[in-house]
Amino acid sequence: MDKRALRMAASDDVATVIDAVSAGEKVCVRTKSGEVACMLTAREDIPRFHKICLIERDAGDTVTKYGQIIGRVTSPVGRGSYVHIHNIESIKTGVGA
Amino acid sequence: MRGYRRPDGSIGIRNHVMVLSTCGCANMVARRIADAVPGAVAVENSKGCGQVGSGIEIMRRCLANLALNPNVFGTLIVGLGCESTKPYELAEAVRSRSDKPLEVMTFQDCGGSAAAIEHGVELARGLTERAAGAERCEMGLADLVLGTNCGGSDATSGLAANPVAGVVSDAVVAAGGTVMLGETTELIGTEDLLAARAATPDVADDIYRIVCGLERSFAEAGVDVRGANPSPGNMAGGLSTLEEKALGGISKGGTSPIMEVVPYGARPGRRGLVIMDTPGYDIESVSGMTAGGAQVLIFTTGRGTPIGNPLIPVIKVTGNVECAARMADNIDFDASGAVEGASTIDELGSSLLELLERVCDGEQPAAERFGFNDFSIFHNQEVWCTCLP
Repeated sequence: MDKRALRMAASDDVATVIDAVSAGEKVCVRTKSGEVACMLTAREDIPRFHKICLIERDAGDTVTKYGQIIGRVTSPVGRGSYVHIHNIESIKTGVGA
Repeated sequence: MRGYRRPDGSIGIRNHVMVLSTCGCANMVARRIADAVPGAVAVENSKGCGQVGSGIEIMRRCLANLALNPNVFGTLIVGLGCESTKPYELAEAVRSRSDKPLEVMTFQDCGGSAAAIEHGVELARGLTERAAGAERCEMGLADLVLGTNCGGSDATSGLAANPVAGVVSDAVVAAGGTVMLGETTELIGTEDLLAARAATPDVADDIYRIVCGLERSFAEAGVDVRGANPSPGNMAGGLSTLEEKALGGISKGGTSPIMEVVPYGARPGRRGLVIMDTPGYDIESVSGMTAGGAQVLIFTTGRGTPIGNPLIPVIKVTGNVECAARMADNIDFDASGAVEGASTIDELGSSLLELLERVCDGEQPAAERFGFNDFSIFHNQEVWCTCLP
C-alpha cells in the first residue's frame, strides 16, 4: 500500500507524511478534503509527521506550508526529498538547527 | 439552535446567574452562596486587590465585561468591601453599560460570613427566579463569539486538531460570527504572516505592537523565545522552523482576514476573526476570552487537559489517537482520523461544527459535565508589602 502524506494548502511546496516512509517508496499526497494531489517517490527515509518536498527548490528559495512561508532553503532539495532542519531555516530567526 | 436573548441584543447559549467575587477574600462567601442556589455559578477571583496600574485596570475591565457575557442572565457582585476592585463602583460600571439584572453586596457591610451568605442567597434566589423566565430565541452561527485555545500541544496539533478547528472557525466567520484567536506567546514568529492578513494597516500595526511588545518583555527577562523555538522535542516531532510551529498553532483560527486586535478581556467591536492579546497560560487565556464575550470555546490538545470554565462550555479536540482513547472522559472530539487516514480534515471540520451547534443548543461537553470551573484573570502587576526593606 502507498504511504500517505497530507498537503495543507494548494500552494504548498511540502507535504507532511503521516506514515514513516523509506527511500524508494511511493507516497500518495492528499488534500484536506481527501483528494489525491499527486503521487511521488520518496528519495530518502522520512520519519512520521516530517515533511516531503513536492516541488524542486533551490538554495535561497522560500518554502510554503499552510499556504504561507515557513522558511528558506539552505541547499537544493529535489522532489521526494526529506525537508527538515538540515536543508531549510527560519526566515525570522535564521535558525534551522 | 435556540439561545437566550439579552437586553443588548446579544444571545446567550447558557442562562447563568453569576455570583462574581471581586477579590480572593470574597471567594468563599461567593462559593457558599452559589452552592446554595441552583442555577447560580460562582466565579472566583485569584486577585482583585493589591494591584496597581495596568494590573487593576485589566481586573476592573474583565470583571465588568464578565457581567456582559451573553451566557450571563444576571450578576450578583460579592465583594469584601475594601479591595482595589471597589465593588460598588464596579456595579455602577456594569449598570452604565447594561440593563441586565444586577445586585451588589459586600462581606464588610453585611457584618460577617453568616450574614453575608444569608443575604447573598436571598439576592441570588431572586435572580434565578427571574432567569427562569428569560426569553428564548432562534440563533445562528452569526450570533456566536467563538473562542479558540490550545494546550498540551504535540506533533498532531498542527496536522489535525488545529486545522480541523480552523474549518469550524472559517464556517463561523463565513456565517457572520466572530472567532477569537489568542495566546500571543504562540504568535511570535508569525507577525509578518498575520500582518499580511490584517484587514487594515492599523490592525497590522496592532499585531506588531502586541507581538513585539511581548517579545521585548521576554528579552528583558533574559528569555530568547525565537532561538528556543522550535524546541528539540518539536524538531524531533517534525517541526523545522518557528514559522512552521506558529502557523500550525494559528491554523485553529482559520484563514479569514484579521479584523481587529483587542486587549486582554476586552469586547471585540468587529465581527470576523479577531486577535485577543492573551497569555500562554490556558486558564488565563480562556478566562480573558470569556470576559471578551465568547459564549463557547474550542480547545485543541495533543496530550490532553481537563480545563473548563464557569460561564462557557469548553470543547476539547485532539488529533492524538492515544490521547483520545486514554482520556476519553475529557475529550469531546477525536480528530485523529486526519492523521490516521480514516477521514479528512474537511469531513472532521463538518462533524466538529455539528458538535459546536449541539453544544450551543445545550449539550454539555466533558468539562461542563464535570463542573470544572477553572478561572483566573491575568494579573499583570502586583504590589508587595511596603514594610519590606
